[in-house]
Parts: sequence; structure tokens; C-alpha cells
Amino acid sequence: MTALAMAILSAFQGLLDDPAGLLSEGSANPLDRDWENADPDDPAWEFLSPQALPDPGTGCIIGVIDDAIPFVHQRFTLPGNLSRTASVWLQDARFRSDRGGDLPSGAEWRGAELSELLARAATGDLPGEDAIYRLTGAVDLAHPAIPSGAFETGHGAAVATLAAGFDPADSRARNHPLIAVCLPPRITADSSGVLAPLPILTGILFIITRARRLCRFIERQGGLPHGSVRLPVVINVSLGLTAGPRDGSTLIERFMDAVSARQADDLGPVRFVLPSGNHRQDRLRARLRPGQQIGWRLPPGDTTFNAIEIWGPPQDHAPRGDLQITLTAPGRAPATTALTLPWQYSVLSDPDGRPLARAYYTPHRLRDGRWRDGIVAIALPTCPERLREPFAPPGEWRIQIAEGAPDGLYDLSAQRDAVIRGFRRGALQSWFHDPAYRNCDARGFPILTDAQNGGDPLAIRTDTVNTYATGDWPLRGGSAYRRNERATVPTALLNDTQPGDCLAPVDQAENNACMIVRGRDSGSFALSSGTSLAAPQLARWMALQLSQGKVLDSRAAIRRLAESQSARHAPTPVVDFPARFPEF
Amino acid sequence: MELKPDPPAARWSEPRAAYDSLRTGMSPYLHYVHDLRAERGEAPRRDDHRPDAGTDLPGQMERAVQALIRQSFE
Repeated sequence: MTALAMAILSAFQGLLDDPAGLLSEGSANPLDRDWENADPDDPAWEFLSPQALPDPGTGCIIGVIDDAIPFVHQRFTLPGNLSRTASVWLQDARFRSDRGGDLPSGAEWRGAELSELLARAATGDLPGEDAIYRLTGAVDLAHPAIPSGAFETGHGAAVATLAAGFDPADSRARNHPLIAVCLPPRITADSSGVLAPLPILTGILFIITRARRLCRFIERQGGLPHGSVRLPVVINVSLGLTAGPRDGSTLIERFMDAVSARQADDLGPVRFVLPSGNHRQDRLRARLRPGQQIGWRLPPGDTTFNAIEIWGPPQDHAPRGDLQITLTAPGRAPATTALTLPWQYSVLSDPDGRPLARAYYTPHRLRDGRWRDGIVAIALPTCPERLREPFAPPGEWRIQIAEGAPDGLYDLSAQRDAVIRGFRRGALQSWFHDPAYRNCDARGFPILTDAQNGGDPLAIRTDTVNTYATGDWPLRGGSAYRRNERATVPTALLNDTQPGDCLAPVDQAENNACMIVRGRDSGSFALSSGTSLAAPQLARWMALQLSQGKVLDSRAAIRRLAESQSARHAPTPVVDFPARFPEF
Repeated sequence: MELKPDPPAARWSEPRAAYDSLRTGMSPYLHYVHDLRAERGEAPRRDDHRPDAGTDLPGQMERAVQALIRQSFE
């Protein structure tokens, strides 16, 4: 555990350096590696009050990584104002100098002190939950970042309560302590989401570290032998990207796979649940062969960059610049890259020298030791965010796999560019334009698969899954309509055309989207939809299964269990209502 | 008959290395965002690197992944 605690700091110097400006002033750890491994001997630093400890034999920790998780919500408490949140890491809060020295930034709060704050709120000493969020730094209006912790109906509130919220009187509640990670609001504000992997990775490390310490804490409290408490952990990450290699080889995917596959001797199994994604119909995915080209449409008035990733077929030799792309900006002549060595980049410019786009050569190694060539192309915003900044022309760009590239299929995907409610505006989604791609059939119904589309379209619906979720282990949750238990139209497809490994009901029907979810404040609610809400329902279901002693030792085993419990088990099992409002 | 003129040429710059050493979390996006912030005076400007400065980065990344996984289970 010593090495793991050190890893959070030392392996993530990049987060401390903060080149993207994600962290607010005052949130970075000023101690710089003056880390601590052990928990301070302080009762206020205890994970949970004695009456809130889970059963050492049947407990299952639920971890959630998201934006603005309402960690003192009534649904994360037990009777008597006891916090069931064992630990929460507010990555962008003002750094707590007396706590959490192993963290690169922010503030950690533990269950015992949260219980104390809840008790003060109950007696009127603190004016309610909002005061706790302000006191802990979850809401800090002096920070320049958008204070999403103050949002009444934020993403994290809906997700976390679905994954780990229980009625305080529910007998199952105590067995599911919550370890939460609130990402910096600028992560969510970034419409592309591409800055999230490192904070998510540190969040996973945090949850694992604290889960192990929680197990030791339970042993000490119960006078149990060291190493005898090994609670399983289910981690929900309702986040994702739309562009990437989709071969399970990214850092975050490999780490999740390694954590899932290897059994630590002082912790139970760790399982991950991610959303399938909601971009099946958005034309963000294409496949080309060398010499083929496709349109890439950039909307006008977009104040954020647009990006696509191109990944070549696996190859046995080290990268040597085999892959080149030809990019044609509207009204300009085609231009072909000449990238020869890993991590080179070039800038595409107008004849007058104004930059239009960039291309980065990013080959990477596959898990089987082979290599894939990759290029990331980033077009400048079509509307400059500030005066005198350069911009790219909107309209139809063309992207071609240059002639001479090794034969095979090249995977293209456009990066998402989505505005999350409450955050910055001005982001507009780019997409691939292919005349052979049809949105709807002659009756006006949406075409849902490549097979239904017919022909040989370059833009495809298959393999549109969240690019964090193509490893071997994480469960991919798709959303289903409650009316007919079929996958929702936007739910992305895996490489085998399934809309995830399991589905959970989210939307009422095609013409009646949304389900009831919790808001930030206890008692509030909102309407929302998407696979972000399917994943936490499945995480909750998995935690309950693990508490019952079920063995979930592979993704296939999880799916088989879901099939055995599902009234509709084919083609993709629907886990029917793991929790009905207002249970969560 | 009026001939349409050829579209103006666009050209790619000579390749340069985006990074010369491994930084966890480094990505093309991060590089672009950093440059944008540097242009705006919000971040320090980066030095240019030789075209071959990043040649060993895929190998370094692989070793870093393995080290991170190993650390997590020690």
C-alpha cells in the first residue's frame, strides 16, 4: 500500500504541473511529495462511525467518480445522522494542509467528521446541507471554476445516488459505504472531455487506497486479524469519450483491467462499470481503407476545437511513419502529413501562414506486444474565442488515409464536443458526412444498425462504444426503454453490435425520455436520461450481488448472472429496476 | 468558359516532437491546450523539441504503465 499511496503523488506529476489549468488556485498540494502513508491517529479522521461500519463478511464498497457528488445527501446516511460516505476526495477544493498529504490536490473528508457535520446540521448549528458543502470546499464561490457543487440537479448527484443511495432505514444501506471522487469542474466544463483521464486515474487510485485502509479500519474496530477483512469494491465511472483506439490499450483501460484481474491480498475483488455511451446515431465513427476519404463537417460558430483520431491496423514492427493522412480544408488544396517518428506533430497552415489544424503521430503498443499507428487531427475552433486568435473554416473538410499506407481497415472517430448543462456554451459537435449513411428509413423510423442501413457506408454505428470501456473487464451499461426493454436509440454499440454487456431501464419510451433521479439536496429530484444513468444502476446491482456472495470473476460471469435474473435476457440482458425511485 | 482557379495551397509544417520526455497524462489534446494557454499568457511557453525527441516515448509509456500496475499491488 505504501507504493500505491506514493503512486498517487509521484506518478501524477502531470496533474500537479497542471498544464491545462484544471485546478483552481490553492487546491494543489503545496507540500509536493511530503506525503503520508498512514492515517493520522485522530478520531475525526475515522472512515465511519462505529454504528455505520459494514458487515466484514457481506459489505461491499461502492466507489463513484463524477462531478459534484452530494456526499452528505440523506441517501448516503444512516439513522442518527451517520454518514455512509466513508471518504470523499474533492479534487479541486482548497487543499487541506492537515489532511490527505498523499493527494496531489484538493481536500479529503472522512465519514466520522461528515457525521459530526450532519449532526450539527440536524441541531441547527449548521444551516443545512448547503452549509456543509461550503464548509468542506465542495462549493467555493471564491474559486474561478464553475461551482458545479452548487448545481441543484448535477450529473454527479443523479449518478451517485443511483449507484449508492439508499433509504437510511433500508437494512442493506449499512453494508455499502461510499468512497467518492469529485472531479475538478473544469473537467466537465471541457466539452471534449479529453482532459479527464488523468484525474479519473488518480481517482481510481484514491478509491483503491482508501478501500484498503477502510478494511484495516474495520479490522481494528472489530478486533479482527490483520488482512481478514477484504471487502469487494464496485467503481462506477459514468464518463466517457467518443474517440480513441478502442482496443483496450489506453492507460486508463489497462489500469482498470489490471486492477480487476489481479487479486490484492488485502482487498476483495474490484469491478468497474462504465456507460456504453450515447453516440450511436451521431456519425462520429467511420472506417476507411488506404486511399479512401470521408467528409468531416465542422459547424460554424464553434468556439471549441474539433478533433478526430485515426487508428491503423495492428502491425508487428515498431512504428515507422507508415500512416499519413491527407486533410483538405474547405476551399483549400489537399495536404498530406509527413510524420515519421512517434509524438511528432505538424501544423497545417494557410498560404498566409495562419494555422488551421494540427496532426499528432501517436503510435501505441497493444497488449499483445504489437503496434498500431495513430494520428490525432485537431482543427482549430471555427469561431475564435478571443479576438485575433486564429480559426479554422467551417464546412466540409475531407480526410483521407494517404495512398501507400499499409492495407487494412483504419478506424476513425470524432471526439465528442458536448455541452453539459450548466457549463460553458458554444461547443458544437463535428461529424462524418457520408452519402451512403442513412438516418431514417422510408417510414421515418431511425435506422439502428449498419445492417439496416444497407450498402457499404463509411460512417458506421458499430463500435461506437465509450472509448474508456474497451478493456477486458469493465461492465458496459447500455440504457433501455422501460416500455419495451429494448436498447435506446442513442445507446452506442460494441464491436459485436450489442448495446453493452447489460442494459438498465432509463427512458420511458422513444417519445418520453428521462427517468426520475435525485438532485443535490435531500428530497429534490430531476429528470434525466442516458447511459450515464444505466451504469450506476448496474453498479448498484453488482454491489448487491457481491454482498450476497455471488462470484463475478469475469465480464462473462456478470453477464450470465444478469441473464439468469432477467425476464428479457437476449440479445442483451436487462437488469430490471435495480432500484425504483424513491428507493435510491 | 470561365475556369475555376486552383484552391490555395495549405501546407503542413516540418514535424517537431510534441514532448521529449514522459509526462503521465500527456496527450495531443493536452499539448494543444497548453499551447493555446501559452499564447494567451496563461501558461509558460514550452521549448521546441527536435523532431526525434519523442522517439522513445511509446516505450517509456509502456514501462510506466507496467510500473503503475506493479506499484498498485505491492
